[in-house]
Amino acid sequence: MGVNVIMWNAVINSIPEFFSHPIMLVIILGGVLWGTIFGATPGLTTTMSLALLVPLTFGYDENLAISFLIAAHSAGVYGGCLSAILINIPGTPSSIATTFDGYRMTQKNQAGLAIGYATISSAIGGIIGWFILVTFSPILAKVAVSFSNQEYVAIALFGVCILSYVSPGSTFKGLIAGIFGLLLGTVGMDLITGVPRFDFGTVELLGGISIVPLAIGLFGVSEMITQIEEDMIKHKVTQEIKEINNVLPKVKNILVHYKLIIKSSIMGIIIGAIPAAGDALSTMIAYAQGKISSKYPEKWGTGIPEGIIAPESANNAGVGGALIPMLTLGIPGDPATAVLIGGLMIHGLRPGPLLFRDNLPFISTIFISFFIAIIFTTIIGLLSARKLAMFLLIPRYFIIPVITVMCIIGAYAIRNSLYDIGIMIFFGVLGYFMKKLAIPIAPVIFGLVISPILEDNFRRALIITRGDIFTFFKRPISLSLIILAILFLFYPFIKKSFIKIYNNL
Amino acid sequence: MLIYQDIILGIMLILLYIIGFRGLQKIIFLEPSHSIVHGLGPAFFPNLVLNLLAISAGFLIIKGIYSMIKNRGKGEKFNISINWKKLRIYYNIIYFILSIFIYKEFLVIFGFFLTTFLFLCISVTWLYFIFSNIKQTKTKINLFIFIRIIIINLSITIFIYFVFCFIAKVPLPKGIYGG
Repeated sequence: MGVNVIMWNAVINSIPEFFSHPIMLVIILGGVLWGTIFGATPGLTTTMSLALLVPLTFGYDENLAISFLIAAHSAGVYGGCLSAILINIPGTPSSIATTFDGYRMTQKNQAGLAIGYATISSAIGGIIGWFILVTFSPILAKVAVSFSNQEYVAIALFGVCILSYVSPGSTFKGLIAGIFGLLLGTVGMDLITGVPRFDFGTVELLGGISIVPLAIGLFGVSEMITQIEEDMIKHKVTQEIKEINNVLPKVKNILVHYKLIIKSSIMGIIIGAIPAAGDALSTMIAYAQGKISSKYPEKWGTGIPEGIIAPESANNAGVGGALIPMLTLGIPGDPATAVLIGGLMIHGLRPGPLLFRDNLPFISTIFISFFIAIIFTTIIGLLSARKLAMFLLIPRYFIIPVITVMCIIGAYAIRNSLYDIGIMIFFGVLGYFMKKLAIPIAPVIFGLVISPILEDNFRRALIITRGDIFTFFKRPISLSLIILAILFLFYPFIKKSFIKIYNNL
Repeated sequence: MLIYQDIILGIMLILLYIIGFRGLQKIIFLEPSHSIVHGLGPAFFPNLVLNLLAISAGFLIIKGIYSMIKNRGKGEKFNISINWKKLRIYYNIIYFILSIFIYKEFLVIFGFFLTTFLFLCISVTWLYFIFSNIKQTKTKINLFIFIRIIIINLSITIFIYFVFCFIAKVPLPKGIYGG
């Protein structure tokens, strides 16, 4: 029996068990609401919502905690479309492409219809992503069990290079941010020898820099500082939210675009599953692809449903895609899943292939709650988009202090330590300056998560092979990943030199 | 200013390298004499990462100097003219960061409830006035606004307290007054 059949059996068998805890559904509903509100509010990203949610789930058992987090993650990506459609500001980076046609539809008084298209295509994309996740992750996990240290090193390196390549701004600055994250990951006790490193004489740093205060600082506090600055410079105009009605588009009108939905979803899954590539990239590619293959590309950007369907199905499918490397290899697909890994580690679970072998019920819980979250998100999106849109009207002078308080308490709650609040403030200020210097912040958190994996496997591989550095090039998977990583890293240079050669011909 | 960005960043990275290097020297590890591979102790990986950082810093500085030489005489000068309006924004950012620090310190003394309520009241009022002053809509302190801010902030504080204490079961700092 194939591993994916075993997985499906396990998922189906745990459904009765799952529904025997009514609290589970309440938790998922709460997570969906939390995620949608954070996703819909510009400036509050999915990563921030997860970082603030991890301390809240600290007291629960791991099943409830992961259901809450997964629901918030999946709904957060959807929530971004509301502000993108209604006020032309993407609520999350993954909904940038939705603004192109979404806001045009709002201007044509079709806001309700636009939200309807976004909701339905998000749901279909999400379910396709979920299906691929459930079917293929056990297979990948089975392959990954036989991965040795060399492969893990190659995957980690590949992730760092990809992230620096796809981050906004220069590749080189992204790489520096990634290296900085790797350095932060070495703070604390050494995994192999137990020797303290970079603890600067403090007890608090012995356990390493905790991912939650760092994520809250980098993604929460720094964003609040930036918003104070932006609000003072730009005098943001508060746009009126137009009447939202007629939310449900006709089924026939959606089914016409089934090819586009499937194509965009698959693109979203593949890009989401590449470690560190993230869903912001997948939506742009899905939009561009949809436009190229369309019969009337000139209409894209003028407010047509296809322009919403393509990015929305891609980014929601990407959620499932990003969970594949996270669950099977323990390597995050985007910054939000990096925080998810942090949340799991608090409960003593390290995602990886062994989790599939040893804790199948837990994996089934993740899959079921993810599915229910998609359904809840769709229902909430269709029924109460109008009420959710009210959150866009909350004035900034309320949002900034309230989120700041939640950041501080969230950072405190993980270990009941004021030291973590200090770490959060430090990274908040650092994140602000990084934004000023146009350095992407996502690679830092990725580097922090990947650092122990990279170091541990790198050293073990070298110890086993008695210091043979070429061992990473002797195995086919690691060799090909390293070559790909180098290609990605030097792609801008390669492209430039090719153009030069081409022009000289 | 833009062309100096790379050089500033490079110098900051070199400072980080120096701090890291000093930290590396404090790592005490006596390698067992029967060890098969030498040099793979706890300092190995941080050392590697730090060296990568130093190489990047060097590259950034060279790139910065190169673009500085290339752009010399093209008009972009390092002029230190202070933009007073911008400076005011930075003051406000510093106030904001300081307020977080003060909040953190007061949290231990007065406990979560009182500190949060005061922090919210003060910062909401402060942001309300600086944002509306920028937009040049004249706002005066009026009793109605004041009461509204107090009521809303009190309910937000109660809500956060309820969520963290009863739903999430996170112990919040009680302070010396037990609140």
